[in-house]
Amino acid sequence: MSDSSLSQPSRSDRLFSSGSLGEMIFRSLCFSAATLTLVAMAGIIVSLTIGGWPAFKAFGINFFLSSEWNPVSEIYGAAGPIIGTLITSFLALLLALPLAVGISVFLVEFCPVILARPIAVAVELLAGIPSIVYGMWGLFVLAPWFAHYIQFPLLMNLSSDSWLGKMVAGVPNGANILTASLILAIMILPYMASVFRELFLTVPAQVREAAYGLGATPFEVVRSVIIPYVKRGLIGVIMLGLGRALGETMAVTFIIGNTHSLPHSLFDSGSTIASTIANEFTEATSEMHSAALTALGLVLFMITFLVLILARLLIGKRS
Amino acid sequence: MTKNENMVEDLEQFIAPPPTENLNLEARNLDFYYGTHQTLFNVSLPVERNKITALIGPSGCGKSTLLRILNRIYALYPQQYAVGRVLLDGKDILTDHNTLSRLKDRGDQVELDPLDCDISQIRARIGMVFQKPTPFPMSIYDNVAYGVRLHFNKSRQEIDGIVERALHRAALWDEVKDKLKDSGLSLSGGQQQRLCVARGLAVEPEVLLLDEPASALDPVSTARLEETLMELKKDLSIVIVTHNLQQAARISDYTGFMYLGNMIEFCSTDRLFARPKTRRARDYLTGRFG
Repeated sequence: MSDSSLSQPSRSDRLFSSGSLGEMIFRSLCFSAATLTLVAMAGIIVSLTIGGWPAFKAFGINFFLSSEWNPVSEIYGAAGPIIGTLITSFLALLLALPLAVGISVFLVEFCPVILARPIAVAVELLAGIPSIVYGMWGLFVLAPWFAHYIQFPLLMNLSSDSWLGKMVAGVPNGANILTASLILAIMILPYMASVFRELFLTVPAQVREAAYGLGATPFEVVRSVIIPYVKRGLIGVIMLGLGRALGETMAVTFIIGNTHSLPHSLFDSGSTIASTIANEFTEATSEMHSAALTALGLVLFMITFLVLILARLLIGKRS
Repeated sequence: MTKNENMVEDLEQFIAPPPTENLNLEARNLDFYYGTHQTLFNVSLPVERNKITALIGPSGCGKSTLLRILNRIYALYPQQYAVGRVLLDGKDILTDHNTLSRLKDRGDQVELDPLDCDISQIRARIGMVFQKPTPFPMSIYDNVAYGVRLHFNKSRQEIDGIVERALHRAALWDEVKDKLKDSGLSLSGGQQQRLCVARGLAVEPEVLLLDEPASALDPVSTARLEETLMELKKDLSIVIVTHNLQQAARISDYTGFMYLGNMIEFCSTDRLFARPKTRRARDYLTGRFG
């Protein structure tokens, strides 16, 4: 009795009772925080479209199909950077995915207890290295090494007419599509590995034990129980990794060679959308040049957007 | 051996094992350690063929630990180890390289007689069902067929037959026969648990270990599961850990009462529940602690 008589007055004094002013302010703050992101996104799309419109209007479909990008004669065809972006990102994903799965499975399933923690921390630290550092390492270490020990020997020993020879043709300076993909792969690897590990750790111990209890080997448990158990999460992480590779700028700019033509081989230099923008924006004096670069930005935005939509579709299908 | 806080003073035990010639599985003088912490003390458990053996006791007494030794699931965790012998049809199955040296350290002079098969085959012969249902993220059919595909090279039709038979034996067939392609996760809790029983049965184990299989089930599902177990013991031996004393009394032939890592009393279920010999078993059964 005394309890309820004590709590009654304090109840009516509550600032945040439903319907009160405080509650309304709280709700509208949350609402505006959420709408702010939508407004920002719409603003970006609109301003990119307006800024890039002259280029789309002047070149039409050729903006996407032509690979002639010539600021001197004011002709802008973006096929080179677009293809370069897609190739480097997918190659990076292809290289990083098996490694990331390997690292995370090892950490969760096989790693001795005393090693698991340090390795996991090291992987997470790798994910935090700034991309400019990766770029410098790529330019000063990876590219010369790659040119000297891989590109030269291959060029010398393969006939330039053979299929393989064509795949590796290019100036042997180490700045090419493949090294850019390698750097990208190294960059997205730690992120993917550390999130994969977290995902694998969410598989209940009893489910693992049940699979082992049926007499499955570690490989069989990983393949048919653990990976399917977190499949949706894995797809999401892969797509986020791809998104990161698509937008990565500095490291790629350092090492891709920066030519706007369509790459003819893995060892050819090329460019990506992000690297082209980074290289040329300060020098874009003519209106058409800035419009073309802004249009490129919109294209990159759309590609990333499509990747995210694809991820949603893939994830949704499995639920 | 160093003295542990879990050691029971004035250890009063009463063990009346079944006749030795009928044992399917037998644990002898097991000690168990989580790192340096000892949780089982010289525990023995005889499991008679085609009988249900129940393990009861208060939480933390080591029932589940004992069960996890019997099919060596504990070996997934490097810091856990068991010292002692587990015999499947008279052959040793605790035979990793440390076992013999640890037995010797303890002062046992034994010759191991190892069972000639690897750990995955041992686990296939000694199936296990866990406290929570653990269906794999695949269809009902694939859940049951999973172990079969691992261990046997069977044709499509043969696997169809095995899956149907296993689901029949687990009393689940009538409920799922029209939706074998649905995900195992779509079933209710009780159905999932029987699916796990069917999955274990499909590989034709000789022994089935159940770790509180009914603790997450409603009374109807529990009754169905118990019927299933009574039916199954015609073909195999069952060890069941349970918190439910009535369940142990209803379905088991032998019961072991454990307390603080010791096997306090082991005898036929009728005898244990009617005339418990030891003071601790008496107190537990009458609800004085638990």
